Amino acid sequence: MYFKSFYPYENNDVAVICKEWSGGGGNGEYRVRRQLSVSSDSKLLDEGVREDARVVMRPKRPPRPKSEAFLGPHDHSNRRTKRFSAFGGDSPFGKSEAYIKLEQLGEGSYATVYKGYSNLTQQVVALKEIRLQEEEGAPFTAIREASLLKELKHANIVTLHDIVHTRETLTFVFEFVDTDLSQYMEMHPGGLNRHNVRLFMFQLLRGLAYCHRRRVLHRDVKPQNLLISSHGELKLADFGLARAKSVPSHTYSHEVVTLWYRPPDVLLGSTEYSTSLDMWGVGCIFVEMLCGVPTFPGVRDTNDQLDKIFKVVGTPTEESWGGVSRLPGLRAHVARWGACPARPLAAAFPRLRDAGRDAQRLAAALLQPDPARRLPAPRALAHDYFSPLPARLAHLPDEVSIFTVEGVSLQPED
Amino acid sequence: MAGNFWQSSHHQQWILDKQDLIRDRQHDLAKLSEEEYQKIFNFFASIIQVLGEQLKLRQQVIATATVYFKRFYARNSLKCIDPLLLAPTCVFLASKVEEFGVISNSRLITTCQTVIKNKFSYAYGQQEFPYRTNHILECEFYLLENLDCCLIVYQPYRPLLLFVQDIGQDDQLLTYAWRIVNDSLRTDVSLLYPPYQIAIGALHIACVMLGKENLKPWFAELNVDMDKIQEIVRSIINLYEMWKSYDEKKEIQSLLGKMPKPNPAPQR
Repeated sequence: MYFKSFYPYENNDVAVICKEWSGGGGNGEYRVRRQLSVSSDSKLLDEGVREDARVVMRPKRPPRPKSEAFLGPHDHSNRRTKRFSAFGGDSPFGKSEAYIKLEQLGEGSYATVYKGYSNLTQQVVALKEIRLQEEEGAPFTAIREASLLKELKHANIVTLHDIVHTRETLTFVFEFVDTDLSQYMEMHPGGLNRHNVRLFMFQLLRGLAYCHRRRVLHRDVKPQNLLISSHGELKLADFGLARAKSVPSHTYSHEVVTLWYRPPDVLLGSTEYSTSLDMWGVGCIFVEMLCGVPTFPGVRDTNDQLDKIFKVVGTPTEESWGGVSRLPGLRAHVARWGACPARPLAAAFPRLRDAGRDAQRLAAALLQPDPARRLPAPRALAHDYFSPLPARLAHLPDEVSIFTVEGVSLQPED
Repeated sequence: MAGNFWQSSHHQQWILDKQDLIRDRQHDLAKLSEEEYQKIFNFFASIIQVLGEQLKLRQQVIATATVYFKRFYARNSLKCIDPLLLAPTCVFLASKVEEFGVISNSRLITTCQTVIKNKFSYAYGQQEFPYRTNHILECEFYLLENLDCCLIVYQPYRPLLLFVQDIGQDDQLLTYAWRIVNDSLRTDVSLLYPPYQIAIGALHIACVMLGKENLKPWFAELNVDMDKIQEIVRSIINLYEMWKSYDEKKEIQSLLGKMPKPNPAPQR
């Protein structure tokens, strides 16, 4: 591939070659749209200060103090000894003292999440503290999440503000969002306000359409991963399992999605899933928001989960879903559990019937067992179900919240 | 991730301005001439390349590791972290990000030891690779933070394939241009220009080398800033010019000796 001693221009003058092909030109869309880089801050810094701020990497440094002391933004005596941050010079960004750790919010497989306070922006933030893995260093999932979130800037995707490195941990600083959809539904049992369900659905689809356009699958769409702000903004979070999808036909290992929100094709052993994977979860969450109970609450294993699904949507056949008989799990499942006929969703979920015909149609299109026929996010956004919402919502720039549009607001749940 | 380059962190944060780059390097350029600085980076790019090849990584992963390395030192002096430690750390991180899978620590360290001993003894003599796993893992944190977690790097390889397809499949042209893209990792172009422009620059050089006059109209029709392409071409050709009169085996030891070092030196 690579050859180093490559001297193609033995007899040519550089300038000649540069001129030779100077035909083109043009100032079209490909011109670089340059933005200020973060380093521009460092221009303002005195060279001497920057010099001091650079700290040599010493493998055997004394351990950092463990306390989470509040160090004000003007405490320079301490700051100077800290290492050089990504944001240049002794800018306080990227420094652990810039954040105070408050109470614990939750614990995940590789991280603990705390509520925190940013001394820089005077804002409440969420601090996700990543545990180091013995062999792996910074865990794969954390790196994947951070690298993806860096590329995904959208009003319906949680924002990664900063990354802080302390001696033993790596902390991601996220925007703080009050609650998540799971807690929200617990607070308001018996099904949510239908108007609010529409707003949540629109935002969920908007965030996912954006991810899918960038060929990123979330792979773990569930109410706990959908953050809800007090204004009703919905933000996709927890991209730890998400994966950049660079080759469309790629197959993934399928032990990923929480069973309740996992589509039948994956449960049956298909590994060729794509964006349709996330869309099944959207359908489940839609019905769950309307009804107030999980849509397919499997209790035991894959087969029980499939049984819950097929009792509603019917056991698939070659007629209803071409190619299904080739999936590894179907024959065994049918042999042991038998085949069920399909029922109308409205019969299985009475509150979905009450929500109207458009809601039923959208639910049916999302809870389509055949992944090839399941509704993709951009088309779901254009569904008649959303026609009561202002038309402008379809044309908002990515980073603008739907609540900036007049007349869009959350209604009180009762 | 095949997403949108224009909205990527690569485009928004890491296409640097040439003047900024020169200013940020001032500390190192007080001790080294510009050419010496480039020769040192050329040397460490070789280390990353050979390490990657020994670990059987795809060229894409090697290219990403090289760009991490360059990005780190675009914002930091060589004395911040010993480049001999940062180079394998970049390879380690890039292999995670590019979904190659995690390289086991012991394999990484062993490979470093072998490579330094067998392939780069002209630079390090009898000296062994001095770092261990804990150094790499700690260094990874510094690297992640300094990259501001911008880990997805767009490379010229994909646009290059598209351009060659558009021209009409030409394997010889592709092979030459591909190698020129590899060589471009030895220059600053990956810090200064978007990957599609680097791909065009490499194609341009390949066409001149192969005397493909008939492709002039194809270039003329490109809707692209040709001044930028010429800057890229010039950078790459300067590299080839430099290689003509440069014997790394003879010079690198003294260059590494001149390199700004941590003060006090790290305890190894």
